Amino acid sequence: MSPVELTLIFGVISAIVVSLTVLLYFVRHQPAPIGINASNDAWREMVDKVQKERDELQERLTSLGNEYRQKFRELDDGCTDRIRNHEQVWSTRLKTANERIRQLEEEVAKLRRYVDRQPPDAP
Amino acid sequence: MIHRQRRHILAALSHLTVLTVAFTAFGITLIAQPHRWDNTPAYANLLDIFGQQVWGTIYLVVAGLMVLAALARLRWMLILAHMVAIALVVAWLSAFVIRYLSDSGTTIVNVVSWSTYLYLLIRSVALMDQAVSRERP
Repeated sequence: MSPVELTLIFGVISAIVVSLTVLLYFVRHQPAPIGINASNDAWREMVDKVQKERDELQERLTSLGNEYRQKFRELDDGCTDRIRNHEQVWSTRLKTANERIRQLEEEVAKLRRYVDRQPPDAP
Repeated sequence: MIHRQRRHILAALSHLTVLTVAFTAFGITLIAQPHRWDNTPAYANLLDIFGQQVWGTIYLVVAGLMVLAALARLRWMLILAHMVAIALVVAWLSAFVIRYLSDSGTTIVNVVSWSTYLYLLIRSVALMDQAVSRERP
């Protein structure tokens, strides 16, 4: 068999085999349709996916908001209680201090009266 | 994501463009300068099967098919055009393989060159397939 005949036979056979293999591969393996001009089904799928993701995020956001509000309320209540306690403590201390001042003023007044009654040249 | 898609489409188009230019150059020179091909022994077996005009026309038709497929951006057309181009390149590659095996006076350069064209064609069809499927499934 001459090289030309071999070329013809081998060329035709390999061309048919290789090109048909490539054709079959691409017919059987179609990439997933995603992108700007995707079909309605692909868009619907994408929209569903995004909506699901958005719902999950919304749920998480609501949950975080509730958690935050609860925490804030607890902290607020705690602060109010502490302020109230401090007010009571300081009010009591103030009353006690005022009472003590009043007692001391009375003592001073008593002593002054006593001193005023004494004659100036008394021994 | 969009940047990656654009890069992908550019890669696909660049492969197709390079191959179309190469096929067009082969076609035009086969038709316009047949003596050059005739004087190169590596193509003797191929030119015994078909004349330069016929091979040149085939190359131009394949190049035209690829351009049309790229413009139409139809998946089946792109695959078909590439399939025809692959068949042509494989036929030529086979000729060079047989010549290399049967003639000790020839080099492996043409085998390697046409293998590279074959690789580029397969890569081109894979890239175009993804690019077109992303646009229009």
